[in-house]
Amino acid sequence: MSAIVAVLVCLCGGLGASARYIFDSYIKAIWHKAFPMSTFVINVVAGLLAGMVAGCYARPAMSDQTHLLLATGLLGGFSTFSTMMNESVSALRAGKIAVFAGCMAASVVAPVAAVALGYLIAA
Amino acid sequence: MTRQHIIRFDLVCVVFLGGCLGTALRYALSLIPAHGWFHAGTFAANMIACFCYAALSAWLGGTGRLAARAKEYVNRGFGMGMCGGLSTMSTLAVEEFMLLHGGDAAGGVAYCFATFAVGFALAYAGAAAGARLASAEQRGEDR
Repeated sequence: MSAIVAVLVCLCGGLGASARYIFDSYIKAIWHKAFPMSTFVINVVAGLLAGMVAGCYARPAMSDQTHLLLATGLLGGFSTFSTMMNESVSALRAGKIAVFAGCMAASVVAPVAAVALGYLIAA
Repeated sequence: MTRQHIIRFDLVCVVFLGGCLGTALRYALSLIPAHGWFHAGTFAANMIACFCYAALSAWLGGTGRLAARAKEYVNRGFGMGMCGGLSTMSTLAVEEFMLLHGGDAAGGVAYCFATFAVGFALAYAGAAAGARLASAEQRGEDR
């Protein structure tokens, strides 16, 4: 049983990553400024949903397995820390200090605030 | 050419496969127990992904070894899929929020600071290493 759950977690992660590719393509098509808006929006949306999942799980109104599939699988695969950090570092290496500082500050604060909001909605 | 915004099914599949692999690694790392405020599994996954993704994208930006089409598959599969699936912002943010919510504000701030500071250092080192590798290849080919 746990082997099936582990495979499902990985498949949910794949779905999350594919969803990020699709969202990322659409946002990049309409946003052409230097700030990496696409990754930021995706991480905030993922944070909001992850907060709602955590809130449901804390009540508890969600099984361990559903929590694992949604939190570790789907939303873990959808959100990204590495792309955010690489976009920030690329901005810094290109001399865009304001973009770097703004991206780092926004990425420290906004996802946690989104989680808090999601948690309050769901709990 | 303007930025690519056409959804390609082959790239969706490549990202899916990479995402499955990255999530498998992160799921395995998540079994490492947390030490107080320090969630070692999430931290390890994010740090490995930061270094690898920065190195990969810097190398892909400068190398002449791969054709444009192959570069796109490698970038989407290993970069967006695998490194993106391995790293996570949502779990990090939930862990930080739970520390704050549970009254351990100092732990939450320390965990956040450690993740962003070490992640930054590793991404910077990775980008420098990838760029150096690509330029070393260029020099080798010019000789």
